[in-house]
Amino acid sequence: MKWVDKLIHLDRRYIYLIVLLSVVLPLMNPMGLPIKVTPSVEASFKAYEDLPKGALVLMSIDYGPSTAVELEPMALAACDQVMNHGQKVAFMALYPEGQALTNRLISRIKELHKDKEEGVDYVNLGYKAGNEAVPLKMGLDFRSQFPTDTRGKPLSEIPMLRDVTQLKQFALVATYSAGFPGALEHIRITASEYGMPLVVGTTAVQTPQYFPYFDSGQVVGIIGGLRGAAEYEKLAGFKGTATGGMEAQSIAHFTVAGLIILANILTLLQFLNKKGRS
Amino acid sequence: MEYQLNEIVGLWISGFLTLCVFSFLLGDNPFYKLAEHIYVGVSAGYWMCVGYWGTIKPEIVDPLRAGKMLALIPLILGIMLLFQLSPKTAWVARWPLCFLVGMYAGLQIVFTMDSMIIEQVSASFKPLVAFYPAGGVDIATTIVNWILVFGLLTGMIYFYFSVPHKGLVFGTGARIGIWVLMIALGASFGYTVMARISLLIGRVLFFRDEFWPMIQATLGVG
Repeated sequence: MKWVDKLIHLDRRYIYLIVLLSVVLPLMNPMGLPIKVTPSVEASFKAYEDLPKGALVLMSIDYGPSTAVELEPMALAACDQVMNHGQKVAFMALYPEGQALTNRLISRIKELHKDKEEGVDYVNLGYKAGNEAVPLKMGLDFRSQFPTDTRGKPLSEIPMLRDVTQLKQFALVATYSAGFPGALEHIRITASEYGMPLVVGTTAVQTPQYFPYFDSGQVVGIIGGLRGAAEYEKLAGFKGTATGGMEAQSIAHFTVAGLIILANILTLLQFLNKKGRS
Repeated sequence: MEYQLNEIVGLWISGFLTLCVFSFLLGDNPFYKLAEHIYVGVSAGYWMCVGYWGTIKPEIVDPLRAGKMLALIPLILGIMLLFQLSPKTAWVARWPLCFLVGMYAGLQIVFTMDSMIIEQVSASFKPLVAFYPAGGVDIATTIVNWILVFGLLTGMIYFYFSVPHKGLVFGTGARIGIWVLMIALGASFGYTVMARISLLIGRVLFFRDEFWPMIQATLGVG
């Protein structure tokens, strides 16, 4: 069977092209596939939703540009939710690129909520080096880690953080994490050591690693990858990029799964063919 | 929408470098090499700036200027680390390395023991017959709990090498454990595919939502 051999040795660039088309075509022609919300994302949404007006949220932006496509939509949807409910958000970063990406988030908040003010409704505390040591010291003395915001303004002069000296004064901590340092450091210390309610938004690659912490109750919710972000956008009623991306994601998954099945069938046929000949 | 010159240049650079990286799919080529070298150079520059403004200035320069001489200790340890650049003086770097290893080990042992072992082990003690709060057996939760406990035990048997994997308990248990691990790895692979496709989606969205509108605005069409 020559066609089996031909297909097995197909130039892999055709496969790249098939996968590219499976992503591009749904993005150009959206079909409106349904999105089912999973319990871990619903729990994350509820953790924000249940906060009282004026509550302080500490958001750790622990990702870089390479993973922003997965994590930025969920962080932005949560920021929008916080702003709509009159809560306040302080941004920090354990990830070096996090500070720059926080500025991108803040510029989107400014576009969406023109009535909100920097220092009153949101503030960027910036990146702090030290990995585990940062949340550890934040719990002992918050201001020792973040004495000023990124503009050099002392916390005592920032209206929303004027009275904040302890991590426990925040009602919720959320980390949008691409790896080390990030979610694991916050789970070990912010959540487990200091007992803070923690929402973890993470890349799809890492999501299975964090589910045991949701199951054990160490984190209040998990938002996993672009799919989690799309679910969150649906719950929050936020029109972001994740929902549109999920259609492409679903079609690409079908394509990859189909190619895997096809490759297995072809390998089996080749094996049977060789066996028959011998 | 009107674009500033710096935005147009930025979007063109982004688009060009994205295509340069994707060109690797057709084979190694000078465009890919160019993007690779720019990436390495920009990353190194970014890390140097972050290192100085995020660590050296606030943790060493500012405290020393304020007369806090304790900042000399991390400064000296940091300088000692640089001695490993020469094989003859590399021994000097062992001291700050010992400090780093000791400090991290101390932090990790305490917090890993608590959050990753004690809390995870206690969370694995599931009721093998679950009940609804109002009464009556919760069949779905009961089945899930059985699967969890069964998967945990068989997975652990597979990694228990002190006895041969023979007989009903260790032989069959280890074989089932392999299946459990394969299912877990399959789920993990699915998530990995999702993450990689997301990266591609991100670049396609960039061309659709940022690059193409800029081209349209520049040409005055659309």
